[in-house]
Amino acid sequence: MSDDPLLDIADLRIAFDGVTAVSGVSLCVQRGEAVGIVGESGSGKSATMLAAMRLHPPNAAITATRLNLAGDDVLKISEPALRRLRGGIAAMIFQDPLTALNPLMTIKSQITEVLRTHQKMSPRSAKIEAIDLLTSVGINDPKSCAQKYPHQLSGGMRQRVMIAAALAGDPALLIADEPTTALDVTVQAEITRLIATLQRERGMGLVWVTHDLALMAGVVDRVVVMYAGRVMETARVSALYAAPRHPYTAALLRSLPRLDGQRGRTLQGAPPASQAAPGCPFAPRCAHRMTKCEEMPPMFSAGETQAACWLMA
Amino acid sequence: MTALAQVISVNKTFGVLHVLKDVDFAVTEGSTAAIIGESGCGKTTLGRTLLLLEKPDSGEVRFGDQNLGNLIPGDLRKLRQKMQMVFQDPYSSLNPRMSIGESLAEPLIVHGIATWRGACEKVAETLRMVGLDPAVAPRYPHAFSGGQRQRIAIARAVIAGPRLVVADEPLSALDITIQGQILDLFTQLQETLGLTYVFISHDLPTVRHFADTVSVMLGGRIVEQGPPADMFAAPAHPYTKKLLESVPIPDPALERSRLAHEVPMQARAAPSGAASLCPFVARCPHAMRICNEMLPPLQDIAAHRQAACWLNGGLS
Amino acid sequence: MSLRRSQKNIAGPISAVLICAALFFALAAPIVAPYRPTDINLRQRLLPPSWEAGGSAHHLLGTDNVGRDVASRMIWGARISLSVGFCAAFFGAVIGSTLGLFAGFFGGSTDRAVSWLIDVQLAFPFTLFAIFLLAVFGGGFVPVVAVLALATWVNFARVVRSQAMSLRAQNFVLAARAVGVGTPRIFWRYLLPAVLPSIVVVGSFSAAQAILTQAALSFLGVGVDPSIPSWGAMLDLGRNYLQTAWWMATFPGLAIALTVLGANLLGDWLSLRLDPRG
Repeated sequence: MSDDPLLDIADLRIAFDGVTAVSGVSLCVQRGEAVGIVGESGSGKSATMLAAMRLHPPNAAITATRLNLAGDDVLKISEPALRRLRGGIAAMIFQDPLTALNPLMTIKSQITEVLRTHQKMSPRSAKIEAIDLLTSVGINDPKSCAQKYPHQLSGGMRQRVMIAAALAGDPALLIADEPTTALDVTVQAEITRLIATLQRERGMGLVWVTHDLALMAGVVDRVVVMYAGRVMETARVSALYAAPRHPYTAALLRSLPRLDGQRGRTLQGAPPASQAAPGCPFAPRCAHRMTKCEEMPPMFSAGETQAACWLMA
Repeated sequence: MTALAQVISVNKTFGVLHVLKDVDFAVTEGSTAAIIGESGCGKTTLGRTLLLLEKPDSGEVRFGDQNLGNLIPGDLRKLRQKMQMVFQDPYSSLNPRMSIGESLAEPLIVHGIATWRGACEKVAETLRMVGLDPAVAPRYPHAFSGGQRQRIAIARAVIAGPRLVVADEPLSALDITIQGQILDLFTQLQETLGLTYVFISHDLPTVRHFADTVSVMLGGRIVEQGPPADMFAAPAHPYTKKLLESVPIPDPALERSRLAHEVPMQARAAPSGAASLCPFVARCPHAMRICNEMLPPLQDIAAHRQAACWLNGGLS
Repeated sequence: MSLRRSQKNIAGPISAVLICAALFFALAAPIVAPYRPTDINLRQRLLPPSWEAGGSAHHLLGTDNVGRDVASRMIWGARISLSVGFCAAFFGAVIGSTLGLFAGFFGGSTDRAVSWLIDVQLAFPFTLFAIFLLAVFGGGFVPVVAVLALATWVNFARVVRSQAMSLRAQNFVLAARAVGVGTPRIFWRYLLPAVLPSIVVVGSFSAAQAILTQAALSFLGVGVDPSIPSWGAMLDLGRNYLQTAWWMATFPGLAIALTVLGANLLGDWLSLRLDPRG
């Protein structure tokens, strides 16, 4: 049971009103493992994670060979089981805490609500636990914070509150969808550190979705690189940064602006407008493009790295 | 070196929020000056004040040798041809009900450079200059991607032949690979058209290579100023140091150790301290008694470098 | 999401049918109406509708107390109601939108002045004032339209003002100012196209309101020239015959109700279509 991956996705396909957004994504997250999913606009990374919690919009058509969260098929389980799952087994935090938190409820109410739903606590215990949670996410004055409303807090504090609310259900998996993108760079560093620490201390699984490769470097064990609705490369984090096997990963790494001033060659072009075309979606922008690339390459493995590129063959 | 544009001792308040506190800033012709800071530091307001899109409560705004505050509205409008702006969000800075051809021709019409019919040629040429196909002119903004819209916004800013372009976080809303392309475009245009840039950003690595001078803002004041290479190698102000330390580095081993050895997590308190003290005093690990009593002035600490800190360059 | 879609589906076609019918009758009156609205025929007075006992096939909806054909008068009456409704809404829109745009965009004393005007008018019992004005100036098409336009401009002004205020701060307006675009062009090419959907929606509701108010004014005897048939005047006349000749009041009343319903549904449908985010 504990050998089963916490999150197991195989061949996930998602289309919105007929337009393909995800064209066959497979990935897994083991218990206690931190995985980063990196991709630009149109990569399908957010859609994939929303589908994993069945939070996708109603006009999404989803098929998958496997879409299991803690062993349960997310697409098939009942409503009550899904409610237990969300927050209790897997919790999600979003980019903009202002819209993700209820503006009409105090912080205390929002956290105790989660505690009472998922951990079945009494109001008094929930109140105490809420204060403890706020402390554990680094809030200096948890009692005063608990009385406030979301709009009265700074961006960084709101994000900490959202993390506290996510942890309140004692989830086995935390999914963070661009949690620091809307924050200032100094706050970003603090929140990143917070999430990394909490993940290690609680032995939670973590999925960190972002477009910024540099950000996740110190937090995750493995990285999944997505492009145009597909997985391009999966590797252990040190291997990925030191020796990327897929040209897109290499281009992404080169594009990162560096404090020492060096900049690699700029990647030209843009992600494809539609995923309908056959073949590797990155081929039009790839410096190593071959005729073989007109056919979509399968995932080739080399040790713990997998890349969907004919160069690996 | 002549300053193309400058603000002198400007103050600006929005209601109770004192957004610019006695700020002096200048950009020399032909150079790129970056203004770095986090949200609420006043960098956007400073950028807008440079173009007099925001009127300061006190102080002077100059372009060339003109005091912009003394101009009548008609003359100010004409002068705008020479100083343009590129906004952060390419989605909202274009009129959704105007075709991009019309949006691009508009600056030419408004400044009497061309008529609606004669503008076509210049519009096509400018579209090509920013890497777009002139055939897209009849389309509307919603038909384009973020990167393309930003190219259009840049085209609109340069089409009437300005001398100064203020770019307010022009890359923030774009994907990483597209950011590189737009930055290349900025560099290229500067060479071809002889532009002067004021580049507002929160991203230090980007400006390291791109800017000639960097001004770091915090709490409505400039706390450090100088060439990026020297400043980033040896920051003089503790806040600059903090900013640099917060920049993630794509090196897993390095990042992991950095995340591990850090000061205990402190939720950032709401801006505290009197408005007339150093804006970093509440969070500075080197705060001294004098920091709680007097505001440090922005003064020279080395050739071409200034810092507003009682450590006076003694940090490094 | 599905509820909204079905609302859209019902409101659109129904309002289209109603409005088109009213428009058709108004425009085609001379051809479609079997009789002239002023044709008095004392020998055929007070005939019930054709399907009732005593009715005649020559007068589908019966005749009134001086033998005029009810159906014809209704058809001709559509002209008055629709033209009053449209003109009142149009002039109200022009006055209200202009004042609203200026108030919202310039703020300051302009805004204070316009807001004060709006508040004063809203605090006023307008219908009484309208009756007073019309009693003083007499009825007639132009005075009635003027009074109704005065009644509706406030609706436009309020909506347009608040939109202009939020538009003023939007990036594309700021960007236009940065380019050096002058205020007249900003009004014409930036603000007006953005507020036009709202104006159209408020316009359809205002037209409905104007038609209703005009009917009421005619009913109270201060409407348009009584010799021209209007639905309100027909109601007024038919009031005295409710017991004996119910058809005289009922059919014009129905016409008013259906036209107003059509205009309101049109407003609903337009507001969903043009402003999906509400």
